[in-house]
Amino acid sequence: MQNANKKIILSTATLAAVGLTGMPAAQAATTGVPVKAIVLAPVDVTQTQSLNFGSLTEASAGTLAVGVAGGAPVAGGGVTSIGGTIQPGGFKLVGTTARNITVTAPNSVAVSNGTATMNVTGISIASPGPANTTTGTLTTTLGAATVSNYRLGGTLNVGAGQATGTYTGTVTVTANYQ
Amino acid sequence: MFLMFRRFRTKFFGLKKDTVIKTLGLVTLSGMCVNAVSRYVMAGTALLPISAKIIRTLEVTVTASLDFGTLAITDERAGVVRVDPILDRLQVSGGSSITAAGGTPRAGRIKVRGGDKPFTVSVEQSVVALTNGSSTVAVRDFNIGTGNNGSIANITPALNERTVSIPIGATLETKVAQLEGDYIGVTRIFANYQ
Repeated sequence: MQNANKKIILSTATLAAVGLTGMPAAQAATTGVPVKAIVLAPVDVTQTQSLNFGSLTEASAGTLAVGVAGGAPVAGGGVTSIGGTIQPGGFKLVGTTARNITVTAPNSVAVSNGTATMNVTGISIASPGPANTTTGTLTTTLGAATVSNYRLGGTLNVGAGQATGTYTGTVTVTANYQ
Repeated sequence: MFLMFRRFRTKFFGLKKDTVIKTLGLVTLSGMCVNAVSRYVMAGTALLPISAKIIRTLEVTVTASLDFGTLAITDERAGVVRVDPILDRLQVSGGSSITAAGGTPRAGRIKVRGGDKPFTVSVEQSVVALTNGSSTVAVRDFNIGTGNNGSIANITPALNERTVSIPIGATLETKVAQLEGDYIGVTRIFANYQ
């Protein structure tokens, strides 16, 4: 029976093919499958300046926050900011104009002096005007192919008796088309 | 001919519908896969550096008091003497109404312990009054360090130097008919990172 069915199917297909040339046009069944492709320039993220907390002293555990807008850092607890280069991180996006892009960064990362570590938490990212600051994921629209002056801030958490030294680390910024 | 048509149509409709649907479905799924792959390879990432420097809090310790020693007033005029922080001894101007009369005049000295960052040392008061309980004598024109820094000095620690010893001198000025006695006083010294 199965073989009989297969034969029928084949026969039907054959008859349909014949119909394209010999049978009336109303007997042919066709359909078009839409195919869509969106071609965009790869979104490129480039860091333009590092997130720097400058130099600080610690009398007891505390924090030092650098905001996305820059300016004087905000110290808490037993931490005192004493200068140096203090600035939010900066990066630029290059992509296709008028496309929505999501930019993400982890909420916290660790910095180390080689033996001791500290955490940078509350990492926030901001797009250039209009003001749009968020932690986690920033959704923005590229008004031009290249947009600079995105900013990244965070809070340095200093422990009691934190070892002296220069602490460094990195934060990964990722951008995706929506 | 009519009869043949009917048979073929029946056979056609006898064909399982799911076979046709499966064929169309394959086309659709293929299209979706292409979309997903394109999105994945277009993500951009960057590593943004972070830095912070922790340095030791400045600690100031007095290791020697500023001492003008014992002074003798030779006449009733007002007079001045100076402890030079560089020479670390009393200097008496010629013709002064005051002479050195013993004791151990010496510059004051502080020890500042901190990091490798430059710092500023300053005296809280520009004029300090020493008293014997009833009369006063003024100490002014403080000089911090070995240069002509005045009452505020910028100190840059040497490489790998974490403790700096800093001398402090000043000028003592007596009044007309200055009373005898042991005159003492105190002033605060501040050290701050620049």
